[in-house]
Amino acid sequence: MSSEEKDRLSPREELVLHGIGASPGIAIGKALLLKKDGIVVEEKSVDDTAAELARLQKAVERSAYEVEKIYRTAVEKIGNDQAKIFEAQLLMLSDPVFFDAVKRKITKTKKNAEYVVSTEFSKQVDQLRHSKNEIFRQRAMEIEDAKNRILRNLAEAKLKSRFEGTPIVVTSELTPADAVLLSRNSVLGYVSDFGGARSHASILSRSLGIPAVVGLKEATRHVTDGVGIILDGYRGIIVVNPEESTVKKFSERKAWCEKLDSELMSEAAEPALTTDGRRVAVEANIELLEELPLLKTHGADGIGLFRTEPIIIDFASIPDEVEQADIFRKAVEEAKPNAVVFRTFDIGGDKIFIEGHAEQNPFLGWRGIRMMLDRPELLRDQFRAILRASAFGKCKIMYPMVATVEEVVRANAILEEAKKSLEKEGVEYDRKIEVGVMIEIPSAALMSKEIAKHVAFLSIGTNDLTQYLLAVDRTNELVANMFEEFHPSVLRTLKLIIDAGHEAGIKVAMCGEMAGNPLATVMLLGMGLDEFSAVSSMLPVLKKIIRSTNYKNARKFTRQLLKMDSAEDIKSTLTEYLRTRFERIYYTTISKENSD
Amino acid sequence: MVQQEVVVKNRLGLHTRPAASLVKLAAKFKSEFYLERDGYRVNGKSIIGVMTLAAEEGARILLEFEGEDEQAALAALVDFFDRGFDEL
Repeated sequence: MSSEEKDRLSPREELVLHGIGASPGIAIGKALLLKKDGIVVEEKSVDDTAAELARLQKAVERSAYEVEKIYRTAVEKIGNDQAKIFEAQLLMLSDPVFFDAVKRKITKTKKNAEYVVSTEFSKQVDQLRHSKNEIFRQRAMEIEDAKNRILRNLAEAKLKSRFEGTPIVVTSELTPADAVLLSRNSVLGYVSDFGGARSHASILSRSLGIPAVVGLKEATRHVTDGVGIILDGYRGIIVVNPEESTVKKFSERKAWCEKLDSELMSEAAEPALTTDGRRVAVEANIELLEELPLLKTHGADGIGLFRTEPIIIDFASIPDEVEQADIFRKAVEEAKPNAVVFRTFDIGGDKIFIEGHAEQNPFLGWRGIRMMLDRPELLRDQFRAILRASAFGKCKIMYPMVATVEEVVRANAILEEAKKSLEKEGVEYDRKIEVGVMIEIPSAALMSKEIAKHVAFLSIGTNDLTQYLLAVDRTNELVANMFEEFHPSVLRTLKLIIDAGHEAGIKVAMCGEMAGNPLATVMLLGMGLDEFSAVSSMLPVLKKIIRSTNYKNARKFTRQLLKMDSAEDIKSTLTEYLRTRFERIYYTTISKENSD
Repeated sequence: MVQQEVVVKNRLGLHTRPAASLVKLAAKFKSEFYLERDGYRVNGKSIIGVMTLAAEEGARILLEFEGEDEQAALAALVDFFDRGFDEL
């Protein structure tokens, strides 16, 4: 934008806000504030209740029409599977009992439709909001969305879904419907007060290729329509009222990042081979089937972690063996000729799906393989599903949250049962299927040598390992700043696991967040890690670093790092390393939070 | 009026998908239909209502029908619960 425009639009000071980078990319433009909360509902008395009922009818019909349109757009742009989330919206808008109650109340109390709709919906949403179940809480948001849609249509306000120009949309909470609907314009980016990187809207933004920063808490308070704004989806920041020099800086970076992106992507298919010939594998962590097309474009050597529990959310129940096998088969066929590592359901912890089941200390409770061993039929079904998929391409099985050798032995025994039962039924499967264990509990880390005797590979989960080693719950704001995956104790434990695996003659992988952090790549390489598994978008970056590194030097460098006794020193050494050798990667991937 | 207590048998309880099937099944009958759990009562023909029941595996729910086809409706819905919403 020109400096004249900026001066006119931004009488205030430049302001930087920190949030969560939900979809990568840099956007520079003007803000378009999408207001939706703040629908003030007044309680009014009405004389003509028949007219009020007609207004309601029209608003509900209009709402259903809108949702159908969004549904169709979603199917067209991102496919049936992701579009399914809009079906529930449609069902709610045609709930006869609910709307009959609303209509009766309007007639009886002679109150305005807005007031009655709002109070009746709120009753329902409150019921769900109190639920500890993640699925039910997501439903609460969807019901809220239906309510706001009807209220807006009662006010006969058109949804601001078409606009001129190329704005950056700023809103309190981006719903999945917004993400899809607004993308029909040439929107440069999304900014929101609430939301996380894993919310549906964020996932959709990434699929649509629209940069987004979410969870900014107060973005809507600081932004007005038309004000200049810069969005940095790499680092999760926005700059409101940027100075001319800031705009210039970000324009250069944007060009720089885009050039780097295209360079990295063009080399993505090259093997992850160090300059002195050590070959490691760089694989993808997959959460959604929609991410599968990224495997080939981002040069993934297979899938190092296929999370199976998200399909429970998609199905709103645990899918049966055949349903699971169908999904797994899709992943296997897409990853061919490389392997897919299926992690058995990791339910529990912060991901509780069993309604009415609450624990005081879920991270130390009934989760991962512990829960599955208590529900052997669930585990057996899942094994059978993975085994069925193994007839179509290479599969591996991985157990999460293992604490003891005994758990591995028991799970292996159930796997053998599953194999036998398929054998009897004459179902094809890969008889040489490999089994591995996620090492994410300190007791398992210390016993990795013994565990390694029972499996074909180990895979390190750094998030849980760090939280258990340091006794820090990172969702607890009071101690979250003590969560430090570069803590010397964590790094020494990583080395111990890798050495133990190698001693037993098996490969060691890492599928935790650290594997995708470019700051750690040279160090992990130097520790001897065999396989890196990370979000697809990071794979070209990891490959670039690995291909530019000498393995022998990395080993020497890592030995020095492991002697250090403070996370600060380790991180500043690694930051300096990355900044001096890979300046553009440093800028586009290392957020302020973890480079400071 | 007829009543019968049933137990939610499928692993993940009365979630959106079975809730929708249940409401669709109930709509085939003329009788009024209510579900009650621990004193919380919802209309069985409302998807929003049934969803707020948040009934997990093992939850005991009282089904209540009133109307000309109440026996047939009760039999159909009890069977639906017994089949674990076809998710077993």
